[in-house]
Amino acid sequence: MLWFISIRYFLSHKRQSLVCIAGVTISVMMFITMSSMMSGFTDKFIIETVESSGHITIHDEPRETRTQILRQAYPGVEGVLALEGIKPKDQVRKISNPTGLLMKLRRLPGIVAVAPMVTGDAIANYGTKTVNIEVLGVEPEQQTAVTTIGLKVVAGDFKRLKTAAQGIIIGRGVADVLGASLDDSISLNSSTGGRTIAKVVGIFDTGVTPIDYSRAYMLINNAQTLLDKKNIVNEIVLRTDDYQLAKGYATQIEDIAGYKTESWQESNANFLKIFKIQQIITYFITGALLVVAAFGVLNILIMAVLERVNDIAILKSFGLSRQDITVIYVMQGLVIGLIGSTLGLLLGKVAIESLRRLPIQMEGLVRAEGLLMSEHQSEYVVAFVASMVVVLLAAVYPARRAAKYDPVEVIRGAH
Amino acid sequence: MRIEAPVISRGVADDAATVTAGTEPLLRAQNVHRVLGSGETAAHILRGVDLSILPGEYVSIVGQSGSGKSTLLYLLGGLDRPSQQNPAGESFNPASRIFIDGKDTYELDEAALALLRNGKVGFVFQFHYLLKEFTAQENIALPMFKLGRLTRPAAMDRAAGLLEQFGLIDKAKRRANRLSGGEQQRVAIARALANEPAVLLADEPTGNLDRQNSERVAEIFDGLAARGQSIVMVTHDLNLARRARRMISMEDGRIVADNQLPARTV
Repeated sequence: MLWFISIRYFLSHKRQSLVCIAGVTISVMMFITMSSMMSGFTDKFIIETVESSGHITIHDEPRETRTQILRQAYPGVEGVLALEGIKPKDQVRKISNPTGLLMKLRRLPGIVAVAPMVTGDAIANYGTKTVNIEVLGVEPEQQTAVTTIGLKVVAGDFKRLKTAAQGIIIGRGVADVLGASLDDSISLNSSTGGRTIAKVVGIFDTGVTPIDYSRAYMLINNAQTLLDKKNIVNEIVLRTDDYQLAKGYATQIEDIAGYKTESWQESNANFLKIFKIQQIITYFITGALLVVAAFGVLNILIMAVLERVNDIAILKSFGLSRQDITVIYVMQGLVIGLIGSTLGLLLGKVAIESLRRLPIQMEGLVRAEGLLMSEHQSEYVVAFVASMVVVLLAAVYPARRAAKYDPVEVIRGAH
Repeated sequence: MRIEAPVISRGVADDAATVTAGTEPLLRAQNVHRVLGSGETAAHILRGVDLSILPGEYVSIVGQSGSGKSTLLYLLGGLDRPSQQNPAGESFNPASRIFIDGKDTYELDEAALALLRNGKVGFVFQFHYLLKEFTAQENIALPMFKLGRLTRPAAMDRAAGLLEQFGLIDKAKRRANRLSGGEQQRVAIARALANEPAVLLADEPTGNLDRQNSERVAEIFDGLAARGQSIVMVTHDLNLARRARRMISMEDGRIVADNQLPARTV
């Protein structure tokens, strides 16, 4: 019976009801679309970064700065003890016994693949063009097992690192800046004085600008020579069975390896923070839209209550309780919420598919053909639940106000 | 056109117009007071009314405007509650109470009182207060939907039956706001009778009608009373009031006269 009255009231003001529904629909659609856009961008960055750099990286350094020997001898003494002009002992940074560590790591549960690496900075020259690059010395088979970099090679082949003498695979951005193409020879100078001429045997494109514009891969032996790190391995990259669990694995591995071990989450913490802030801003904007829509519902339901004061009085006179009256108006909010949210989800889906097909060239932190749209079921659920909650909350005030009318006062003409 | 009063089926004898002595009152007011507002602006509308309405009685309440007759009617129907303290904050002795079919309304919460109204009381007001979004038939069926004693189709059938008895069956599917004033008031009476209430409470039922429609309503009330329907009617119209079997006069929130009237041939 309450549904019967509620629906009839809802249908009696079609225009106002449609305005309410449109408000909810638009806000839900915007929520879905903006969330999808944000997720698409974030997902692309995370996936490409993780897949091309590995899930976990062991570095050739301890996590904590080593405590000076005098501080170890006199812990907590600050006032009397003063250490000045400390010159740290020159140390060759490396991972000791990398072969043994690699074997140990391969046996760990959850670890799918491991690869040794030597890294260092160099300057690449081609003609008059110069660019700073990070050289990654790798074993091609092992590297392609821990990362998907082999699949990202758009010209040449990752395996050619093995066959070509002094081969190098550079990022698409590096190639663009240098103006170098496949099989061109570029000159490399390391910060330690090493020099070599390397042949471009491949160009990769991960779609992540910071990687494509700074990274180059060489065979590990060649990189060790260039960087003056003979027989040195200063990083070990690992692939896990689930990249989301990398943080937990990294903590365990750090205890085993004794070196600073970073998960991809830790390595990209700054970017992840930015994404989080962007996500909050997105939720804030779309949430504000939803609140505006809810005010529309509130306003129209208040008007509906004021118009039907006599009806409320008569309904009470023949036996409807305050709760019944409340339910009648909350149900109208429920109907507005259900129709508006459902339409919003459908239109959101349509908007996502349309935007995905838009031929927009994106070049920023990530590079892509067309807008990056990503869909998560949870976002649809959040949008639906949030809109329903907000609309129902907006319906509660007019409903309670309606329920409070004293039928005697109304019949006497006080309202 | 003469309108038949609807047949009511609560097992009341056809000659129920005769009120049986010793029967439990259907409605009872015990030292009823009603104070509106508070402090210096408080208005003491009812000042200790004692009254019993027996099953099958046809009672009219008359009095000048402001005498408290409508207030008493709303209290008798459980639409309002009696005040428990005077403007000075002192409790009334004996307690100010209304009993509907033996139930003390003071002890019922809002929802229980609403349910009691739904099952026992039918209200007719000066203005019809029909729900304009609903048809005449649906307006009548709404109280039955709430009571839930009948299925929806059965409730709609009964609503159609009531409309037929009131000569409005051809208007059954018409929206309430498309009916004339007299038709609307007849639909309102039919709605009040929908749940076969123990008592029909009418507040100036002809106050907004022309002479012809007033007479129709009066005839309906006469017919209902003749079939044993308990009716309490508040009116300014002395001619209408004299059609009842008992007339109560009020003045300044008190009953000043309570007279049995001679039976009238319907």
